[in-house]
Amino acid sequence: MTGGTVWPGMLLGLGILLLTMQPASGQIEHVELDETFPASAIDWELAAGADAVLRKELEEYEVRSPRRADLRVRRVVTVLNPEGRRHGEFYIFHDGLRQVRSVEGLVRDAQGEVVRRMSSSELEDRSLISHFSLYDESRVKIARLHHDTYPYTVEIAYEVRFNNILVGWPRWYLRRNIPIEYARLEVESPPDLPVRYQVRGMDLQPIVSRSDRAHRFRWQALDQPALDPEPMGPHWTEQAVAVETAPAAFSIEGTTGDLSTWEGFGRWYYSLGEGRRQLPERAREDVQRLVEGIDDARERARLVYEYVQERTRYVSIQLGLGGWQPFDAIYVHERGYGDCKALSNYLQALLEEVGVASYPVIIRRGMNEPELQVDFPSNPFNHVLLKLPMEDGDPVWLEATSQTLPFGHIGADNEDRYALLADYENSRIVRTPTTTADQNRLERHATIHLTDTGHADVSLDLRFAGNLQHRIRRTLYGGTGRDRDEWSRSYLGFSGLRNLEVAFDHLSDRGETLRLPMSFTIDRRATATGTRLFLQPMLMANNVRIPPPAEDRRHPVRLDYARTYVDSLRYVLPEGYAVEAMPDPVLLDKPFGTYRAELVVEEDGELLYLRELTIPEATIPAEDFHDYRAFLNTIAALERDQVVLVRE
Amino acid sequence: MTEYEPDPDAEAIVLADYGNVSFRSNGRLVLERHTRVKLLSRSGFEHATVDVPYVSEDRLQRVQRVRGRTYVLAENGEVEEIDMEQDAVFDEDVDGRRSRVRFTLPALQEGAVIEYRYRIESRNFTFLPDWRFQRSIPTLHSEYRALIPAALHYTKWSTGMQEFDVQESNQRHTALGSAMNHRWVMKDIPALREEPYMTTPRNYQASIRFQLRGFEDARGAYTSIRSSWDELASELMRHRNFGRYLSPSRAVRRHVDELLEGVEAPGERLEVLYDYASAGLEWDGQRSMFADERPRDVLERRTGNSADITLTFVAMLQAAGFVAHPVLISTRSHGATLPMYPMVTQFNDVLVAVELNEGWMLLSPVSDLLPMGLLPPAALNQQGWLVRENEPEWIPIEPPGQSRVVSVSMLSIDENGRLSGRVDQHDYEYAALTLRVARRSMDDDENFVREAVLSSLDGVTLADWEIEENDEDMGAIAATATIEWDHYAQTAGDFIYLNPHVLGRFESNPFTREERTFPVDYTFPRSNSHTIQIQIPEGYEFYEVPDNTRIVGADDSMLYQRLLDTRGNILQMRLQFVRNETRFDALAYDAIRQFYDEVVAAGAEQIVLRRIEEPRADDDEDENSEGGR
Repeated sequence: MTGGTVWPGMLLGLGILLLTMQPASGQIEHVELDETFPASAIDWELAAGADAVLRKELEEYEVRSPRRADLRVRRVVTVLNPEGRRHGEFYIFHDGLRQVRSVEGLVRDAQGEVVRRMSSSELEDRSLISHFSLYDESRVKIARLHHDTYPYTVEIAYEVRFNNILVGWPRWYLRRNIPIEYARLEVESPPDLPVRYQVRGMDLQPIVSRSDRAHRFRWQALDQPALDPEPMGPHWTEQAVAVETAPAAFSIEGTTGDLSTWEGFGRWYYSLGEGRRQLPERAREDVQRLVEGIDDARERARLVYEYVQERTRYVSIQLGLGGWQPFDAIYVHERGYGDCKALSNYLQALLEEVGVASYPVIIRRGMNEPELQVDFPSNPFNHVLLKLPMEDGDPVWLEATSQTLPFGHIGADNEDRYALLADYENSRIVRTPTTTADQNRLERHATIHLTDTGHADVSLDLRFAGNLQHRIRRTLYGGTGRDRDEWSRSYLGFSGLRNLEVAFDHLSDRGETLRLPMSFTIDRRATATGTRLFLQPMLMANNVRIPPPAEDRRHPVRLDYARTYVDSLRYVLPEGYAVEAMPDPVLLDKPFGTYRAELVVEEDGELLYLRELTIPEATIPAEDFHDYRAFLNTIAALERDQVVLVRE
Repeated sequence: MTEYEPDPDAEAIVLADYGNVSFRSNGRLVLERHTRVKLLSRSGFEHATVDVPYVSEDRLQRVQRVRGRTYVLAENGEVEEIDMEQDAVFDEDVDGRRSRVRFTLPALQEGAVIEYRYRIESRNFTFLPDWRFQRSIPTLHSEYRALIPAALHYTKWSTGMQEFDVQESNQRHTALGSAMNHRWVMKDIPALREEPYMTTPRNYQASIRFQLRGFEDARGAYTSIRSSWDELASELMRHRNFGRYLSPSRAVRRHVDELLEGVEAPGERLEVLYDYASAGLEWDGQRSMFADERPRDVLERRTGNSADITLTFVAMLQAAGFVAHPVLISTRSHGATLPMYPMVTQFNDVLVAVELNEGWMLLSPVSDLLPMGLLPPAALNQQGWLVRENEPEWIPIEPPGQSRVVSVSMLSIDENGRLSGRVDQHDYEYAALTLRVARRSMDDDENFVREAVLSSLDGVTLADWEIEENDEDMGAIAATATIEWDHYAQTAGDFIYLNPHVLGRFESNPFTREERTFPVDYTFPRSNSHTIQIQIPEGYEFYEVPDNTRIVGADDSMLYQRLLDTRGNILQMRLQFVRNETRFDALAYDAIRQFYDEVVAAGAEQIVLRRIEEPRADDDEDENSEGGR
């Protein structure tokens, strides 16, 4: 699903933005600007530290009919220094659902004199097919407006025409990576095509004017400062002051729907798949034979799911309404490929065939995506899953695009979020399941024979479970022998690694745990100095990324998921060596994490290192930020500590 | 078969790849391609999605008659054929000039054979289509045929190590008259796989390319066009997107006069123009040896591709009275150049050579991060071709600098293992360039100092820091920081275990694989020097100190040296890493890998400190006063 929406942020090439600011001023009635935008008129308090300033932005979205809308944008940016040059480059996206009607640009010098006007031949037009797509219609027009003397001001004005009113509704953000002097959003629509909107992050009421012909909504804002992003924080759109607009009734490529309720939108989506689930005779025979003699619905679903995993691959082709409407089941069966909609529709058809009901769930897939605004039906979706109600009340969730996920796993980029279950009569918001620290688990069990030169002979058993296995299994399963070898070497990361042998025979079992038993040697795993051997007992680090320091943290730290790491390492020491010094046992117990590490000298002289790190929740509250960093830093420091062995 | 015995790592193999070039009576040049690939494992499925790039500008080329079919073994033991539908074939307009046809084959499974055909029709026959016999997967049979009218003469350039199994030509009579029929065949061609520190696999790929060298007219008179570098040079000097832009127009002269007003010294004049072109003209990220725009338009728009900016810079230099010429290059990823072949497709980018008293100076004016004299790493590819009407010439491109780091640290360790003190580090030339690039992408200079400049100090806190950039010595970044690092050293009983390699330590070996096929190619030489002084706590002695170390690798062209000295309670260490050469034969791989293993091991060596007397009562105060130094 493309569900493409151009966010104003994207147009400016914004990165991640976050919010701390006070509510903006109330409604502005009247604004007068010097339309030549001399640099001298910049409010330097607002622009302090900025590389560029958005002097003025007008965005007008005008609905003409259920099948037509126009977007007009005018944007004036002053570039203050070389770092700000990218803010003078504008990206205007278009595809089969929207057409760029005109683009004009000009450059002014610091005094506001027009230096030059852009000619239409300067505009680049490039294909923007995403790396995972075989084909789609996404393209971008690029206007690069530069000057050689700072500061200078660039202006862009463009118009985009939509052949539908599902995509294109403005999402307007007042927190961006450059400060805003003045911005205005206008949405206009005929009375029979109502405008819906939601304002988040401040109290900003529109000025509304109504006539028989059109209703017009206008929002304005002055002097909005730019904000620094907080690394590893929530998605910027969750922080920004935003005005989101959306249609009620809409029409797209010969279909009509209603986005004013989730139920209405779910029904429209559901209807697009109707009549597309007939199966060829051969597919029906295949799955019937597969489930013969098996009554349990869950087991039937598993067999069908694995059948689809075996005989399909993910190929994305998005054309017009094809951004939402699946290719039919026959297409997928015959070609052995499809995108998320097509594959899940095919899976749904096969499940139906064996008597297992399932429903498409449309979702915004990705790590750290903004939470769905449940109280404001809109269309931020980009993916689809299937939900299978089960008699025991514990539904099964399936991700049809993966060849390697174990049955019932949906992956960290789908879990723990609101999504829309599409049904004819009963579409509704549902929440996808969450995995726990106990499920997302990495265990490493090793026996390491050390010699007096520090050479190590290692046998290691890696066990990845839950979300921790997904990417690795996908990489290795689809990888060549060489890819697998390279992955292993870079995962281990030892200098002096030799004689590596890895058993990859568990890759295709799609089990809950991915086991990778391996053996190898390391020249100089321990460092010999005179009569001593220095040994870092932690074989390899697997610590959680430490967020960069910040004096005041405003937002929680977001990890992809909760997790547990367990290491159990047995060292067989060289003849004649004994422990001179070793780190003391440690237990750190915090609400956001537990760490324990212990070294034990066994009776037979072997040294046992046991270590466990658990991060029980994927979200660390902002108030725990400093403690959390200290916790991770302490672990990193502790694990630099060594065991000192001395020859007796 | 799901494994290919000679190469068990192969995910797919090309069974046969046929290319057939012919000239049509309408003057069009046609390549017909027919390829069969066996997919051995799931990771081979990517070879079933095919991109056919072509030039769509001025409708120069068209891709036609795309057909595909998958053969699979059905359960009943019979071979089943599944045709690719035409709706699986897509034509993508990449940027209004280049296009590509993309398709994917249906019903893939492990062991399936896929087959596809297409034809590319060209209106231009200056070049015959390139043919690559070798790919990233093994090829059993690759064959290229060309039926070329006898009146057209081409230069042929073949690359790679493998000999042709068949190479034959004979004369034929066609509807278009006499023609030469050529056939080149290679069999059992191994996979060509990329390795780290390799310029580009293209340098080793078995391929042939052709460029028109001359033609005979109807009366048999021969016209030579690109049979020599001289001819190519005069053609380029007349080219509307190249030579025509080199002589300064009135607009360029006016612009240069404004910029140079009051600047007299030639060195300064050059610098002013360089600074203008590199900082004032924005590179759009596209590499090209041909300009899209006239210099006056480039100066007006202040943006362009690499040739727009570089050729404009040549015109500006000429306007300012310098002798300056464009130098065509092939960037590292584009492959090596061979002076034997006067072929223009060898190149993909352009530099400037400006004549100074000491000879030619090469410049690249496309990035404001490059100080004058430093060339972009991508341009460091052995040699370039200086283009001028008379006496064009090949000139060597030596790396104008190296990656050079010099640091001096004055540190002390307390009895709790806390390290503190001052670090002064200077990064020069390519080391500085890497940092400049990093700095531009990081918002915060403190993070930049900690994570980029002092990247090896992972547990460190910066009490204060300073950073300074200048253009001396082809770019230098000077960083000074007061550091504090709790628990840097480990303490146990009367002992402190201290790793003195605070900076300049190699944590891991860059070469992980055990075998190597191709030479190891670095972009530029490297030289690091770190002087580290550590004062140990009072009441402690040096109990064990590692030896001085000298590790030499690959015929003395790599050196790691550590000199340690203790005096009283001061440890003085000097670390040096020098790599003078950039290119090493694959045979030297084991030695290089071994060298790094030893360097990594040396960096893990420790100093043992032992307490010799009871600490004094006022130790805590001492610690505080030292921390602030």
